[in-house]
Order: sequence, then structure tokens, then C-alpha cells
Amino acid sequence: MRKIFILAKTLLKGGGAFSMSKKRRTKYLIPLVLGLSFAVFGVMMVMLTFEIFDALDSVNQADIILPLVFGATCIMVFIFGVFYVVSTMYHAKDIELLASLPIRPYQMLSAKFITLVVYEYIMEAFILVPVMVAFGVKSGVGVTYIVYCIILLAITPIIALSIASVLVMVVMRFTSFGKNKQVFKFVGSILVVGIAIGLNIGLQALTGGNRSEEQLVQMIESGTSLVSTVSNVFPGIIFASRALINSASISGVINLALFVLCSAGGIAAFLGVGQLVYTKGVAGVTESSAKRKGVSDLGKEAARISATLSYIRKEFRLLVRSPIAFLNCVMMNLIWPAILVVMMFTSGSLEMVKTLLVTMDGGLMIAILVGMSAFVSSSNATASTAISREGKQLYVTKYIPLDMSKQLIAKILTGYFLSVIGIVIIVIVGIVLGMNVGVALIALVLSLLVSAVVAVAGTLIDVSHPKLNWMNEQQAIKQNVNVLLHMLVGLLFGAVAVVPVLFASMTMVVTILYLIAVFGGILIVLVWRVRGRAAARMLDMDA
Amino acid sequence: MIELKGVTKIYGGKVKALDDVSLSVDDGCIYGFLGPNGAGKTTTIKLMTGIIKPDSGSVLVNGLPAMSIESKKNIGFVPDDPNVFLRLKGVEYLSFMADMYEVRSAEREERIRELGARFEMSSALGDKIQSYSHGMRQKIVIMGALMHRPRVWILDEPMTGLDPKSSFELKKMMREHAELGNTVFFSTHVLEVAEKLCDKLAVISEGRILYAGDMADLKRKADTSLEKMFLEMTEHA
Repeated sequence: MRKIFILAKTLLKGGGAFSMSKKRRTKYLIPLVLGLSFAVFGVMMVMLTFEIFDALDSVNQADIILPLVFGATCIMVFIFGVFYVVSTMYHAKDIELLASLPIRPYQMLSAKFITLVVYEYIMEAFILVPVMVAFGVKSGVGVTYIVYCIILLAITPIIALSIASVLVMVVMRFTSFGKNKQVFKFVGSILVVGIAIGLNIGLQALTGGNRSEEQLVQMIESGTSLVSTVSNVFPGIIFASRALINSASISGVINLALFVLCSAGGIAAFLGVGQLVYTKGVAGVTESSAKRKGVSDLGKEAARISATLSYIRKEFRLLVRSPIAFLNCVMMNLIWPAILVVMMFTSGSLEMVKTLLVTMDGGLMIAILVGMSAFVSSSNATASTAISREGKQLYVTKYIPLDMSKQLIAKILTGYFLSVIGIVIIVIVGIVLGMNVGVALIALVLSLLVSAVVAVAGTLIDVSHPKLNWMNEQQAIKQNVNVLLHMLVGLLFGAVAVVPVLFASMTMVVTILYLIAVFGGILIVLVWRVRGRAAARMLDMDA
Repeated sequence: MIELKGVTKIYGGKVKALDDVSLSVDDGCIYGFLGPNGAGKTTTIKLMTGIIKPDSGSVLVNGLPAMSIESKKNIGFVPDDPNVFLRLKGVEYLSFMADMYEVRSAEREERIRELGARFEMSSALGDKIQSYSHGMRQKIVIMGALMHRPRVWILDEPMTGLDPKSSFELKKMMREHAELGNTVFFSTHVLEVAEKLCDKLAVISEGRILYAGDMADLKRKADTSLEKMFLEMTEHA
């Protein structure tokens, strides 16, 4: 047991999940921005819970909130868990090192599992904590409620994470049958992510998606409860909410004990399946085929292209060939538009969207599409990890004879080209749903502009405090605070695109001029900064 | 030619890696750079290749500031860590380096064939570098550094991980390169290699140059082995 905790502690420290910049200027800035974001989000969640509590309390159904939120937390833990498990247990470089240590597979699996549970606490902090606080305030609870909350927060991720881990381990075990293990494991990783998204969308379809408050009450009253669906998917989760609701009585203790038992069962299942399939599944994960092959057409392979183009090609090749980078930088451009589209189709809001697309003012529609593009562009981690991904090999960027500003532009363009995929999908869906083609094309052009701004901003964020000291790419991409900061910047740009247009009731022409002026201006300033200070900062870095 | 004049490098405002180092590396010779671990060898090489800036003093390569793009074009650099761009295929890496150093189309194909044959890497060029052994990774990095026939060839611990045949081939290539009037500068802590290969050498310890000059002179002056001299110098530094 002691070995497991020492190992988990070392993995968490090595992962640097919570490490921040040591530079004086940014030392406090990032925790401050994140703290503020969390505070704003937390307050919003608490207020929302108050409203929902009041609405449901009127029909005597306020207790439904807790199982709903536990269910939502489980879904989120499961989806993120799948990503985490694939990258931590299969694609991390430390696996080979750990395999050489005198520890048993279950000790390694347990330590990795603990690190994943800790990462999932971040998720809980955003969803579960505010609702627990709000529910506690509204229903006037005692000390036992608080104690139960702390215990539940500590163990809630276990069940969903166990299911995610078992699913991943079984799929990865199966995929190791192929001749080319790298390709199969790569496909396996994507498959698991696909299943996770499919499950999420399926659940949403089952439960009716974003229903109005009245519909929600109706749904609860008619017995088609979301709770039972989620409880079926994540067994035992219902005990967690019952423990809190009945925290003042003996029933609370019993339910808490049952939930602890279910979580222990989850761990047992994880370790049991792990013992059976993990070692075989992970074996050879970093191996490549041993048969050597020469180059059939050297003239073509070695054909000369410009240095900047060659640099972009190199960036693309590295992104596409690394499973973690591929998922977070390439696939993410398809995942967000796909989620938006499927949500529309499954939540029953398709007709409303179609009507809006036909009736809404052209200017506002352009602004909304541009705003969405800003967010979708910021959701892929290409630009915001452009420097971090170099890691300890950053020195290569310094000795090759290509101007640093050109290298930065090449990195930005790589992220930009990938973002364009997501934007084009959004605009095509708009046209298919009946949006005016002219308006859609204007929105496309302006979205390409805002996407460029977002890509440049992402790379500038990464240049200012890159995460270079990492052991595996997961730490550089998934556990990189710059990705989160970039998404916040994307949201901010999205708001800048939509809010003034909405409140000033701008005409289409004014909207177009406004968007060109604002984002064109920001782009010029940011590119000027890339060519000047950012390039100089790169050269000043000790690599 | 490489010239360091009064170079000092301090990391993080505290650790003095190099202290007023001056060094002149002439064309047409193989210059060895010896020192114990942490002496400042890699820092010196990083300054020569423009990877880092000195805190004071100047570094010139063929008369150009080491940080300039024109200077970098003259250099072929072999780092001590060959784990670079592991997900690229060997040929893609060589092509990338050729693009960076603007090697002409007509020349690069012939160069890849020639280097591939010399290092017995031709049959592995279609594979990803990730699948290479340490020695093979070292070879592909050496090949990348030589794609543009650099005027100045700088190598950081180049023999590490190479099999005897490749090590022999590399030493032969270093000699050929120097004989063409180019500069070859390499760091090592394998004294036998330095003794047999270098025309000139410098010994560094704790960021200071303890000796810089001809290998032949050093051998004449001392009545003992290079190993003994090295140990005496670095221990009394």
C-alpha cells in the first residue's frame, strides 16, 4: 500500500498537473485568472441551482437535483476519464520505466488510478461542489451533510473512472492483436473516444437534452426520470445523493456505506480486469515494426520545398502521428462541431434552429457564427501548446537557420489550418439547415479572420510561459494550463463578436465593419508582437 | 573558424556555467574539447551554435555572430541527445534538415544516398526514428548535420552509442572534413578518442579553460599519459 501511495505521489509531482510558472510576472497571474474563472463559474452554478431548487421545490421534487448532478458529474468524469486513461495508462513514456521497477502490475495500476482520481477532482470542483453548497444552503443542513459531502467528493469519481478504465483496457487489449500495434492502438484510442462521445450523446437523446424548466418538472412527474437512466449506467451512484438527502437520519449512513461499497466494487473490478488484460494490452505499445524498409522514391521524398512550408509539414506530421496530439489538436476540430450538431438533432431544437436561421437578422447570425468559430478554434490545443510540445528539444528551434518569427508563424499557421476544418463544418451545417448562402459565406470569411486571431493569441500565450519540462506528451498537452487559458481567450473573443452586435442592434453592414475593424486590428497588433517580442523571447530562452 | 572572447554565461542569475572563457578554433583541424561532467562543455557548444546567448563576451563563427541566421547556415550541429523528431521517418528528417539549410534539389538525393551508405542506414530511412536504436538515432542526427556540407561541424559527445564500425567511420569523416579546410569541434570525455583524433584540444573545468593548444605540444611537454594530465588538471582546478 505504501509503495502505491509513494508511486502515486511521484507520478503526480512528475506530471506537474498543478505546477505553475516560476516567473515573477506570471507566477500569480495564472492562478488568479483560473481562480477568478472558477469563482465566476461557481457563483453562476450556485445561482442556477437556487433557481432550479425553487422551481422543483414547488412540485416537491427538489431532491431530484442531487442525483441529477451526481449523474452529470459521472458522465463528465467518464468522458474525460477515457481520455486520461488512454494517455496515462497506454501512451505515457513512464510505463516502460515503471515496468522495470520492482513493483507488481496492480501497484502500478493503482498508483495511476489514484492520479486519475485526483485529476477528476478538478472536474468535481466545477460541477459538484457549487451544487452541493447551493443545495446545502437551500435545504438548511447540519454538520453531517458537510462531512458526507467531503467523503463523497473524495470517492465520487471512482465508479465512473472504473467503468472508463475497464472499457479502455478491454478495447486496448483487443487492439493489440493486429500486426501493426502502433496503428491498432491508435485506432483503438480513437474508438474509445468515439464510444465515450456516443454514450454522452445517447444519454442526452434518452433524457431529452435541454428541456425547459416546465418540461423538466413534467418529465419528473411522469416518471420518465433521467435519474434512473444514469443510475443504470453508473450503478450505485443513486446512494450518493440519498446519503446527502437523508444525512440527518440513519438512512444517510446506510446509503453512504452502500456507496463506499459500490466504489470499492468499482476498484475491485478495475484491478481484476487490469490484472487480466492490462499487461498484454500495454505490451509493445511503444514498439514499432522491426522490419526495416528503405525509401522507394527518394526523389519524391526528398523533393525541395521552402523552409517555412517544410516546417509546417513537419508540424503536421508530428501532430498526426502522436495519438495524444492527434486527439487534442486534430480530432478536437471535428469533435466540437459534431457535438454541437448532434445536440441540435437530439435535443429537439432543430426546428427552432431552422426557424432562427431563416428569420434571424443577418448581422447577428454572422456575429454568432464568428463567435462560435472563435470558441471552436480555441478548443484545439495546437496553437496553445506549439512551444510546449517541443519540450526538451526546444534547442532545435534555436540552431536551425530559420528566422524565429518565421518558425512562430509556421506554428500558428498549423493551428490555424486545423481550426479551419471546424469552421467550414459549422458553416456547411448552417447552409444545409437553410441559412442564406451569401450570409454564410460572409460569416465564413469573417470566421477565418477571427480564427487567425485566436491561433496567434494561443501561440503567444504558450510563448509567454511554455511547459517544457515534461516526461510525456500528455503533460505537455492535456495538463497544460495554456490550453485552458486559450479557451478562455476564445470565449472572450466570442463574446466580443456577439455581445456588442446583440445589444447595439447593429445592421449587417455595420456588423461586418465592426468585426473586420476589431479582429483585423487585434490581428495586426498580435502579429506585430509575434514578429517582435515573442520571437526575441524565444531566442532569449535558455534551452 | 570559431572565436570566443571573454564569454561568461550564468544560468538563472546564480549558476556560473562559463567564466570569462576565450577560445580560438582554427580551420583545417580537429579540435577536441575535454572536461568532466558539468564542466561547461555543452554550454560552450550551445553558445557556438546560437542556442543560447552569452551574458558577456562575444561568440563569432567565421566572423559572424553565432546567433545570426547566416552563421547558423555555416554550422552542422550534432547534439548530445539524438532523440529528435522521433515520429518522423529517417528520410523525412533528412529532407526537413535539407530544406532548413537550403540544400539544392540536385544535391540532396545524392547526399542522402552517400551518407546512408557510409553509415549503413539506407535500408532504415523509410522507418520512423522512433523505431531506431540509440546508435541509429545518433547516426541519423549526424547525417542531418552533414546534409549541407557545413563549413563548421560541431559535435557534442558524438561517439556515445555508436558501434565500433560507425565510430570508426565517423572519425574518418571528421578527418576528411578537416582536411578540406573546414572546422571540426567536438566534445568528449573519452580521452583515448581525443588523444588519437585531435590536432588541438582545450580542457575545461568548472567553467574555466585550463588548457588550450596543440595536442602534440601537450604530449611533448608532459612526461605522462593524457589521462593522468587530465586528472591532475581537473582535480587542481
